[in-house]
Amino acid sequence: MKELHKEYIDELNGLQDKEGKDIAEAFLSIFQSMAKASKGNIKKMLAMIKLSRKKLIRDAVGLVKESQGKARELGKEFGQVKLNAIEANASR
Amino acid sequence: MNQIDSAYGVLETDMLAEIQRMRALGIAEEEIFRRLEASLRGSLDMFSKFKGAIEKELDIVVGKTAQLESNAVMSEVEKLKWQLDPTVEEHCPDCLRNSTMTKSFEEWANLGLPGMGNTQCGSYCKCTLV
Repeated sequence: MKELHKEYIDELNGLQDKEGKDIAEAFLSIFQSMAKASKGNIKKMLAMIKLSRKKLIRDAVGLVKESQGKARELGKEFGQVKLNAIEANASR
Repeated sequence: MNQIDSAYGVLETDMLAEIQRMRALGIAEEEIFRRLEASLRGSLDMFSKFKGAIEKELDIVVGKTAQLESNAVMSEVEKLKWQLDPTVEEHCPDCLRNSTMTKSFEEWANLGLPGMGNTQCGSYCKCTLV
């Protein structure tokens, strides 16, 4: 059981790192596009960042929900593995 | 999600402050812009702070969701033990205490399921009920 627990933690750590990194990089990539579009105009770049806030946060909510879905799946799988192990022990 | 929104707000404030600081130092607008672009590639603190805030938020959300799901499945099991995270050598006092007890799911839920923030290791807890 401890080995299965360890495998689950490794997968969970990987998922946490990946999802956080992906969403943060998506934001930075959009900001880079804004910088490019503003063509050196700082005021324009700041305005773009300000005006996009609502939309970007809304998009981020969607991405976080997707991440939660993956986390839910991973948790459920491990839960089932634990249940199977308990049943196997009980039937011995 | 409020955490990401507030990190966005902090980023806007930090950017403005940094631009004003550079202007006060007499740095040319072109150079300020060049530095902002460079910081977007992760070379300055401003955006890395924002990136860190998002990563931290996802760490918590993903961790809590998976932990809750993996333990909620066990709700029908009569007695459950608190199994310590096997990937770390040191555990917080709450987890160590919990690992000596056997309880029903409901009792654990009242005390706080692993990873829900009721132990000193908080939402970073990767212990599990077995």
